[in-house]
Amino acid sequence: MRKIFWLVIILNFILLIPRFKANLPVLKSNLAGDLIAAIPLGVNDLLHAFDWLKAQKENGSIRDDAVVVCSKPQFCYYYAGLRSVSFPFTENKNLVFSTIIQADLIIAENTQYLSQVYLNQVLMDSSEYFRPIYRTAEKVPVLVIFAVRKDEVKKLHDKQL
Amino acid sequence: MKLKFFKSFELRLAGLLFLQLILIFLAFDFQIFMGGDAHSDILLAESILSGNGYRDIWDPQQPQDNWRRPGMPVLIAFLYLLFGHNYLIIKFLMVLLTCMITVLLYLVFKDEIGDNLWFLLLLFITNAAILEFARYELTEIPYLFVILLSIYFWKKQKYIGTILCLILAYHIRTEALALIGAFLIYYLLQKNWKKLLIFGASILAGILPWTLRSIMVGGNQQIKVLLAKNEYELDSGMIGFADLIQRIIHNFKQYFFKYGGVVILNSEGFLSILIMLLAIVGLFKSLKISSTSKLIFLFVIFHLLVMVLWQPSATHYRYLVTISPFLMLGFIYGFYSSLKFVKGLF
Repeated sequence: MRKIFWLVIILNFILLIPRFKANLPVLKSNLAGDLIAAIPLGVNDLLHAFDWLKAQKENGSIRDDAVVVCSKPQFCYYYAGLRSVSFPFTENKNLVFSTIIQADLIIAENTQYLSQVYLNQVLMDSSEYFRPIYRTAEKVPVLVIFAVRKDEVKKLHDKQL
Repeated sequence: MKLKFFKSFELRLAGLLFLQLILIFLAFDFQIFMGGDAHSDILLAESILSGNGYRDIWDPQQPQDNWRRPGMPVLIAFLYLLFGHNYLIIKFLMVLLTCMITVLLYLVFKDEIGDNLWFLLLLFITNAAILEFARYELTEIPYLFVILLSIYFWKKQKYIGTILCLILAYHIRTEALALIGAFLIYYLLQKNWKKLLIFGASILAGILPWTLRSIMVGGNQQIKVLLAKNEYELDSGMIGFADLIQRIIHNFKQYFFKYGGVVILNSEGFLSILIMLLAIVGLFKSLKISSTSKLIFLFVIFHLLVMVLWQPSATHYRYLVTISPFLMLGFIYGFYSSLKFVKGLF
């Protein structure tokens, strides 16, 4: 009976080998100094966007206290040093719109489920209030950063009053 | 003679730990975990270190955090204070704690399961999910270490140590309520009123301050998420009875038909249900063996109960990693019982 169990252990070990093999290039890249070797493409685009935002902040193009709407607010502060909030997870477009126009910058992602469902449509429906300032290179971009057009938002508020 | 035997036993453990370190290295990476939890914990640690308290410093309003448990951020703050602000130190601590879990498994079960101990330890060190979480800056490994430590203290009848570990575990992951519940139900079934009262009152006193703080800063978020129909759809409202049944069926399928095999053997998919059934039957069969077995059985059942009730969007094998060694133990018992049963048939 014990022999069967030893076979189970050996099988368990054998099943690890393909995982080790797949991890080897990542480990090698990491040891060579590349610490984003295994990060999925969508997240990698997000990290590049944060690098860009950080550079803009450092050269004064973006205020230090600018607020970013982003699906991963913690990442935004960790990598770009900019405070961030998420958009509300609701199909109530008015609520999403009124939330995001309070921020200064908005990161829209085409590969991120929550962004696709709750944010991107609002941005398209009210495009006059947002100005793209960064986008990835693809024909249909994976990620776009919009600046909120505060002048247009002010006009809207004045009209509502 | 006895001493010689003991020494050879320890040597085998040292060898096993060496092998575990090699396996962890082969599955290791030096990158930060990109799921978001690690970043939140690190930023909360930064908030603590900057003297701002326990705040979401990434948020423009910097509100008091009312979602994450304080255990991990406090641990990270302590590490950052000692070794500087670099997430790699958290990763190395996880590796160390994973090896220490192996030692604790050895110490807890060496008198209970005979030679099967080595099967348990080998299953543990060759498990892909454990190797994966040994490199993440997440709460699973510290939590597993603390709950095993609580069981170790309990076996040694060092009850203050047990209670302190349970309180600590609750501050690392809320699911520690499953083990706390297991201890209390165990004493209730034993009709040991004195220990039931002491454990209950001490743990309540230990978890009360943070619970009160949570209530004061906006109520228990975990309960709110548990009762929401879908945490990613605010419009869908609260869960109803039919939704609850659907949720239980969905989560049961995920944990028993898909993920169970991942945390016991390195097998995902159709074998999962067989592996999980063997594990549960094995844990049930082990009830007669010792009081530790009874406690572990209650703990695993309560943990699984919480998991099948939780948000379907959050089903993942990571939520079984924290009971993985106990499921492995059940699998070993279940495997032997089934083989004996089959042999008896022919």
